[in-house]
Parts: sequence; C-alpha cells; structure tokens
Amino acid sequence: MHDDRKKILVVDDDERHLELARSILEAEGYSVRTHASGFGVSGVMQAFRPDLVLLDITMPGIPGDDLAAFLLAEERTRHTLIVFYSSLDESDIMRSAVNRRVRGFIRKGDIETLRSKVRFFLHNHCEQAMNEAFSRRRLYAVE
Amino acid sequence: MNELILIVEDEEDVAELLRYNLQKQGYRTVVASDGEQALRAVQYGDPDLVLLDIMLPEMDGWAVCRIIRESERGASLPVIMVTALSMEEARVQGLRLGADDYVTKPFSLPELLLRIRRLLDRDQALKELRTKTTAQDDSMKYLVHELKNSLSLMDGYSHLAQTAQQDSPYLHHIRSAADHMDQVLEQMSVLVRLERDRNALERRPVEVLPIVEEAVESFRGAVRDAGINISLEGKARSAVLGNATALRQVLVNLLSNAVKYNRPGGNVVISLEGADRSVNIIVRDEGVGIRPEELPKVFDKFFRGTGVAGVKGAGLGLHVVKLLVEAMQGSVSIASSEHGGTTVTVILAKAPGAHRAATPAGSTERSREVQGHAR
Repeated sequence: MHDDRKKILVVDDDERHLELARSILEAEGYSVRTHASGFGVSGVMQAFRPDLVLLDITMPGIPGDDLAAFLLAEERTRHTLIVFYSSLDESDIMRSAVNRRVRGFIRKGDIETLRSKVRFFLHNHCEQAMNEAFSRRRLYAVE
Repeated sequence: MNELILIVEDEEDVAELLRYNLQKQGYRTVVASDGEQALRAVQYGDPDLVLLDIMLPEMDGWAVCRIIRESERGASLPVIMVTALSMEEARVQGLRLGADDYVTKPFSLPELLLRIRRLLDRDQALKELRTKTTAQDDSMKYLVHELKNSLSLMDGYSHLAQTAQQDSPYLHHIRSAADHMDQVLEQMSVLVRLERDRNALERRPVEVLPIVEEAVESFRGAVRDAGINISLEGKARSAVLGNATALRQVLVNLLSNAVKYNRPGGNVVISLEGADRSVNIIVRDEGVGIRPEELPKVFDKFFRGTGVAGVKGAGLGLHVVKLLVEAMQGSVSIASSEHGGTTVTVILAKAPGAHRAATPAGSTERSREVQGHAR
C-alpha cells in the first residue's frame, strides 16, 4: 500500500535526541528517518526523499550550518525544506539561519514546540498555503 | 614593548625628532605626512597609538581623527592630538572628536613620552579585559547550550515515560524540575548578555500582535492544567521598534507569572492598546497580588515576594523583563493590590511608519522567511 505519511529526516550526532524526536514525531503520524552524522546526509535525502529535514547545528566534523549551506547549494537537495534543530541561543540560531538562508528553526526544549513547529512547517511548505497567519509570521520572524 | 606608533606630522624636522626619540625608547615608528597617508597607515599598518598633528595640509587632524573613530579598526585606537594652538577651544574640539589626550607645541619630550606610555598601558589593560569578557561569554554560552541540551532530553523522555506509565507523579516532579532549570538558564543567559552591554539588542520594527498570539498559544497547555482562563483583548495591530526574541521572552515571563501567581480558576487578560506613538501591552491577573511595601522591589534581581509561599521561582523573571524592555528603550510598570491581582504594563515606541514593519531594514526577501519560535 502506498504510504502517504509526511516524511521527516532528523540529523543529530546525539542518538538520544534522535530517539526522542523519532518517538515524538512518529506518535504524531509522520514517517521518520534518523541519521547520526553530518556526513552522508545528501545520500539519505536522495533515498528517503523527506518533506522536512531537522538539522542539528553543533555536530563534530561538519557543523549543521555548513551542511545546510552545502545542501541548499546542491541541485538534488536544494528544494527540500531544511530547518535547524538546536539548543543554541535563539539569537545565534537565527543568525546562522539568516546567514545560511535556512528557512526556519526549532529550538530544542519542550516537545510541544517540536510538535507545533513541525506541523507549521509541513503545512505551510507542502501545501504552499501562504495563508494569512504565515505571511504575518514572516514579518516578525527574523531578527 | 615594541609598540608601533604612527606619527602624523607634516613638518619633517618635528617628525624626525619624534621618530628619533620614540625609537630610542624602543617603539617602532611609522610617519605619515598628510591625512590620507595617516588613514591608510591606520587601515593597513595596525598601529598601537597615533600622534596626530592638527595642522596638516588638505585634510586637518580633526577630520582624520573623526574618520579614524568611525572606522572599525580605529574605534578604540589611542590618539594623542598634537597642536600648536594652545587655545582651549582647539583642545576641546579634539577631545570631542574622540582624541584620548593632547599635547601642545612646543611640547616637552619627557611629558609626551609619559603620556604615550600611560595611554598604551591603559589600552593594553582594556584589550585584556575585552579578551577575558569574550572568553567568559563563550564559556557561558557553552554552559547554557550543553545544559539546555541535556534538559531537553530529560524533559522529553520523562514526558514519554509519563505517557507510557499513566502519569507517575514522580515523573511529573522530574519534568517540573527540568523545566525550572531550563527557565533559569534562559533568564541567566539574557541577564549576562544585557548586564555586560545594555546595547546588546538590535532594535527593528516588529509586529506585536503575532508574537502575543503565539505566546498566548504556547501557554494553552499550562493554563488548562492550572484551570486558568487566558484571553487576548484589544488586538491593536501595530509595529514597535523592538526585538522579536526579546519581546517573546518578555511575554513568556509575564504570562508565566500571571499563570503561576493566579488564583485557581482565575483569569489572565492580555491586551494590546495602540497609542499615538507607542503600543501598550498589558498583562493582568487575578492572583494574590503583591504587598504594597514590596511593590518597589519587584524588578530587583533575585527579589521574591513573601506572599507567594509554595510557588517556585528564582526572582529573575521581572528583573529580566525590565532589562529587556529597557534594552528596547521602552518602559515597564506594575500595579497591584493584595488579593486584587496584578497588572503589568509594557510600553514600547511605535516603529516609524506602520508599513515599515513589512520590510525590516537590511533584511533580504529570503531572510524574512525564517521562522522563530519561543518555547
């Protein structure tokens, strides 16, 4: 049977974060794939074709912000929605996001934030529904 | 030693005299004979101090001083003005333009050397302090990040365990402790940054209503648990000159207090009122209130009211609110009566031109699409 669940790829060097994100997001009805390294992400994206990628920033070897810049420059991966998933200081995440042209971020913290932000990103991106809420949000979202 | 001193002097014999004596003291020297050369030397030579003659051909020393101060490299570069004019006016002008010190021609060499040494020592001490401060900031950020990372795991997994084991009260306590630590970390990182530098916040036009709506939304769960009703009134739509992250934190702190200190079943009302040149954000609760004698102290660091036994807190929430609001150049006030609830009013200046909110200065079309979210 065809699986039409939305697909989310979570990239984080910490397995515990991957497991937590998987548990929470699968309970929300998404199909989740995790990847525990900054290396090999574009290959996983090719195979899994996620609707959304959650990308940790502080990873050894290749930091998430460098990785994002790379993925957004590659023809094969540039059309996928990538957002940062990090517990860094909000202003630091925001700066990285703006610098690397990443379209959003989710701050690690409480799981309600994770749930609602993922819903928000998938809804707004996938249906291209630039509803009023979204366009209003765009105005203030960047510092 | 071996600091590099830039001598800006168009009279060759004076320049030579300075160069000879400074080198005898062990300094390295470079001479510029006009303003343009001087500015180039500041830009590329990386001098440690500038001896700047006022009477220069073409561009005078004042102009050079002003340009040095405006450049990134020269903002804190020690500058000693050398002026033949012993007039007070000229000296004042030099100091006003950012010179650190001055000597008048004809100058006494021992005095000049002493002034140079003193200024260089002071600059060195400042540089060391800045390095130390930056290192401390980095350590603080690292600490906050690492702890938050672990706390988010504690919070998440105890939530999952709670779901799996049908609401163990032990897990509830673990979660609330993790949550408290998380909030303290959040407040502390704001505190450290703003105590260091009150101008650390960038101010930009920010649309208030969506941030308020989002903050109210994020409290839905908490108010449901506490049996409290939260509502949003007077939805004036207006952009203020502020900072979205700071505003979010202010609202989270105020709403968190209004929920925490409310009476069971009480109301929290948040309203937005647009005034002529400002926007008022008012948060009202129906809680125990604050004793009149304690009211003047509520914005103090670590202050905790005595009428709130049994409610956890670190005494940072309102203090951080005040710091953040003032960093946005707004004001905050509080009114309360015992058992009559508390009202906090935040006043922020409207952004110049309402339409400006749609195009924050310096942001590109793409960057405006980034989505932020407070926890």
